[in-house]
Amino acid sequence: MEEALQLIANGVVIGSVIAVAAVGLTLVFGILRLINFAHGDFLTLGAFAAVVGTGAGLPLYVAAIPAILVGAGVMGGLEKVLWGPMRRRGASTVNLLIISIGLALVLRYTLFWIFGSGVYRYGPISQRIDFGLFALTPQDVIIVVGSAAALFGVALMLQKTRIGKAMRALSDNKDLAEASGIDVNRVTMITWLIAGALTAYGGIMLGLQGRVFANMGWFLLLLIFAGVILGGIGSAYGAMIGSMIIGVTQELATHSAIGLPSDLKTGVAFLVLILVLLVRPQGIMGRKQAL
Amino acid sequence: MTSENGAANGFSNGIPILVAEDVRLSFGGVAAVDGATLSVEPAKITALIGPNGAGKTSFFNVVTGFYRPDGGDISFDGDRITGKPPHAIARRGLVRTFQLTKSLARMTVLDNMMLAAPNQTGEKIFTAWLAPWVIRKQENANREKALELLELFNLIDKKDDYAATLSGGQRKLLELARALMMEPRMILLDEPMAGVNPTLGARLLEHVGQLRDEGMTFVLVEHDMDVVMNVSEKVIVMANGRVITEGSPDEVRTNQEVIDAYLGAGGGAVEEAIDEVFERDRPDG
Amino acid sequence: MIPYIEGVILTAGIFALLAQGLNLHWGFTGLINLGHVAFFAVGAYTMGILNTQFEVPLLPSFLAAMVAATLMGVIVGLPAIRLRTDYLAIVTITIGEIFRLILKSGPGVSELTRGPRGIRGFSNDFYFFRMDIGLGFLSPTQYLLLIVWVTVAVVGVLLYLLIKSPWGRVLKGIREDEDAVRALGKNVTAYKMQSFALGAAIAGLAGVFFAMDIGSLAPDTYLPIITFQVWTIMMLGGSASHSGPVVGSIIFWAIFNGTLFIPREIISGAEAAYLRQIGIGALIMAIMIFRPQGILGNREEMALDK
Repeated sequence: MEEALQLIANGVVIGSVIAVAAVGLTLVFGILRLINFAHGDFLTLGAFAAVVGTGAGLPLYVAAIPAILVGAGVMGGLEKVLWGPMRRRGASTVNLLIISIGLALVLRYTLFWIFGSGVYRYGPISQRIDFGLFALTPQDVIIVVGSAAALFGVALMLQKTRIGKAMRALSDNKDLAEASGIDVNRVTMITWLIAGALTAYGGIMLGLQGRVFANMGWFLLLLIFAGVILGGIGSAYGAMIGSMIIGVTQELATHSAIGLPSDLKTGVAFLVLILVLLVRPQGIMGRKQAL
Repeated sequence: MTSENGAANGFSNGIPILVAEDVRLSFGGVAAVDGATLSVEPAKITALIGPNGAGKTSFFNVVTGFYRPDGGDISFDGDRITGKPPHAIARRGLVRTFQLTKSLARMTVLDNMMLAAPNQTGEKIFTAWLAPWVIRKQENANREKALELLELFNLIDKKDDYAATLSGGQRKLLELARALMMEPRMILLDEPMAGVNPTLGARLLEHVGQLRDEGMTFVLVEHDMDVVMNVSEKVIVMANGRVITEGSPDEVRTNQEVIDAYLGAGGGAVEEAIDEVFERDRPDG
Repeated sequence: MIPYIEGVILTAGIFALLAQGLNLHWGFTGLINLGHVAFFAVGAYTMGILNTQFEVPLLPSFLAAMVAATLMGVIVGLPAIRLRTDYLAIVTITIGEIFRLILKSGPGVSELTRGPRGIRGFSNDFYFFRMDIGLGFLSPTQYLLLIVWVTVAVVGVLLYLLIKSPWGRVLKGIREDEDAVRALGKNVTAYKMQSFALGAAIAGLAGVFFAMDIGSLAPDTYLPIITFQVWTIMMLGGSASHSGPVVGSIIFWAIFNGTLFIPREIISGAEAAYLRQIGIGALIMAIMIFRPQGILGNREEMALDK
């Protein structure tokens, strides 16, 4: 039982990171129907941008600011030079998906090229704090609290702000939203900027767990996808729930009573995804599609 | 030359070919079809009308197996078809077209037609390698039939063009011709006149009438009331997922419930809209 | 120079086979499969395990490899095939990764696959066999090269016949609009499964040849990047084109292996490896942006795409 609680706590930590990244992915999907295979590498980009800052002697919470701006800037820039023009040329969903695979390779191996295959750290990891039922490092606590704050912010934006409402409307029914006078291009751009900022932030959270390396985002990407799909693609709240389920499941899979090697834990999370899709092809919060 | 011919084709009048009882379908708690009960008589043209959101297309989708109903029973020609997959229902002779035409864009018009032919040996994976001569014979016969239909529907000049190059009206014609390749007994047409120019539309209706005379059963969802009143022998009116009334075009035209249904759905769209829809004479005109 | 050319042609042949399988999935049926590498791995491992641990002779183990890949196609297809395109993409890549992880450390499985250490010693029989059939004058590479390209040609002809047949017509119909094909009385799910299984079988055979080429099996050879390379090859040649996989594969590997000629003094080995990956990524993007129909694809057909 003690072991299980500790594993659940670990799962919540990683689930928080996945959730932040997953919400960015799903917001973009909701509006553009684009599955972005480069999304994981944007996490890495954010994490390394912060490494540059901390390397120059800045404390992480200061270095995070330019890193988040870089994340938002690069995603927004790509909308301007790549995604927007491609959409206007009528590229199909699958064309865009394949472009994102190419983009992912370019981004990831450019980071490899610049930073090499080594591991970077923001700083030493502190001792675990015993919370009675489980123990977490102060970094873990920052990750959970920081992610919760970001997700709360997103939820607030979607519910309360004009732009959030416009994003929801656009994701619900594009034609209707367009007809009701929503500036689609502007909302799209803002969505990319928010997604970029969230993703860079998520990358920093991921790095805070201990290690920053060029493959980190790519390794997490399939778990992010799993969280997004499990919750129902395009649904921000679904992505949050799905990500937590994925995070906790993969940690619980390593419980000694189950006895699976830790190599396989992501495999178990993927398996859960496939089983859920068998029963509910549209995901937990997703809606049935009309013909 | 009308309904007697239907009887001659083996359908006795009065025994419905399609019966739907208490059909229910909902999406996320919202009922799209809410206990619809209706029957369709053979060798007749039945129109299914109703305001937007009445559940007509959803009903079509349930009948043809594209949605599994949450409740109710559907039988076609005496056999229960509730919940059967779409291809199985189509093979029984109950064929549909779509509101937004589904011509197979990057296939030629002729290939669109050939694809629809039933019972093709060559559609089994290994016969393509093992028994090409069997396929060839069947293909020739199917091609002949397809060309005949294309001729009839004035699409013969387009046979080698990609379906994507056809006009909206031509696509509707192709969809009907393609459905006929399957030798169906009943065809459900979902808004066959939408986006079709009047000349092609008239031709399409002419074909429908002719086929009815030869014993084919049609149900059509249509918004153009001129068409509904002119071609159909029976009109079924749906609102809020239910059948509210049915009868001859004249009976339905004057039915208060129908008028209320359109009024309710239209909010403030009022009497004038109804007048327009049913082309009633206005007091002042 | 000769080893370079032989190497390019051999690898190109193996990947042409992979691309032929993928082309059946995507080019002709419209099924997006990002887990192709799993079928590749199943073929290789089935042959390797049967050959080294159960002493099954060569030819039966080849057949078993194809059967296993076909079964894998069905197993993957069962949950995946009904999903919409974007979900299918993610589920297939996910299944590919699950499979690799199982090969690496699945309980009960890693004893057979020897986990990360991998399997060796299955290729000797295969190479000695060339003496028995009078091909002893060929080098091992030339011999494998010959077999691979004969296979590519045979598979190419068989696929051509299939796609031209009414069966192929149904597949193309599904690619265009599966609901329309359902409404025409075709069992779409069954056709998708057949396409998926057959393409998987072809990939399984490619896996056997690949294993013979590199002489060993290790789980981490079968990363998603292999699938992406096959996609690049297929799109480069032109999807839904019968010769596209062959042409795409030769061009791809000529460029890819060509980077080996860049002198070490200019770029270190590790840097060259990174640049190659950047190159693949850039190539994928360039094809999709500037010539989505590929080199041999039909521009007219492409323009009609929804």
